[in-house]
Amino acid sequence: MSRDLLPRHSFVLCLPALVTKASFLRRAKVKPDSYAGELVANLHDSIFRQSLDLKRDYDEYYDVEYKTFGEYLKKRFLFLPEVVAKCSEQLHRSRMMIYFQPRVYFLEDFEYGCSFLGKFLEGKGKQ
Amino acid sequence: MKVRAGFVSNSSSTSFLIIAKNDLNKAEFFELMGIDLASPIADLFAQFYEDVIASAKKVDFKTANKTVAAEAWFGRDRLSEHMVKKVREGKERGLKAYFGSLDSETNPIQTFFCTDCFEVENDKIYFDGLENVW
Repeated sequence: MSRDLLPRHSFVLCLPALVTKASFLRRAKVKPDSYAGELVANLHDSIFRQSLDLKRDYDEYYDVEYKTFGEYLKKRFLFLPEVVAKCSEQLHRSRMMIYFQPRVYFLEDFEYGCSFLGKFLEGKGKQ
Repeated sequence: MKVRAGFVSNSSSTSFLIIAKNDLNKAEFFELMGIDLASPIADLFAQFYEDVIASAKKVDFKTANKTVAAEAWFGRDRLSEHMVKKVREGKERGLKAYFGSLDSETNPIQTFFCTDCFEVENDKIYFDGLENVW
């Protein structure tokens, strides 16, 4: 995970594989049809359905326009150089690189957000 | 048209009502919410539980003065019609009622639950978090 240093805190989640909703709920130890389950399911949707997979977006649409993935991140999203470097480094180690902009306040704190998201996403190998 | 120049606050608060068979406790609160006490995100709901307990006024209808109307304990004008109905039912059944409010200025976790809107119930607890004007 990496902080992109944009005004509203967001994350680039570098993942080795998709985490299914069922697995997400299991890791969270919440019941699917409960309030907590709904909260976690919504979080899963906001990461895996509503956020942009930068790697896929680049491969499918922008690799002609931008020579490198780093250039795509820099010019299209105005990522800072250190973030571009970190993401480029992870490119071949990750299957997905999700640009996640949380809509819940408690995830906007970078340290807490990293720790919180890590509990769900790092089970298949820390990135 | 009036134009206000200066700082405009966007803070919010929301009231809640809980009707419970037993004294509210963390284990039953977690069970109601559908989360295991050993969950990696238990801290989120533990903070929510602490905030609820800290802000709620409790009335035990088993021992409370029966001549006082159920809704009067919390202030009729602070309760929605739905809450009034629920608190009256709670009184009839001799249950415990908790009424309080959450706000968006205390901590980020409380802010989240303050701005969410939900109603959950099991056989031990009813939680009305619908009064959200965010």
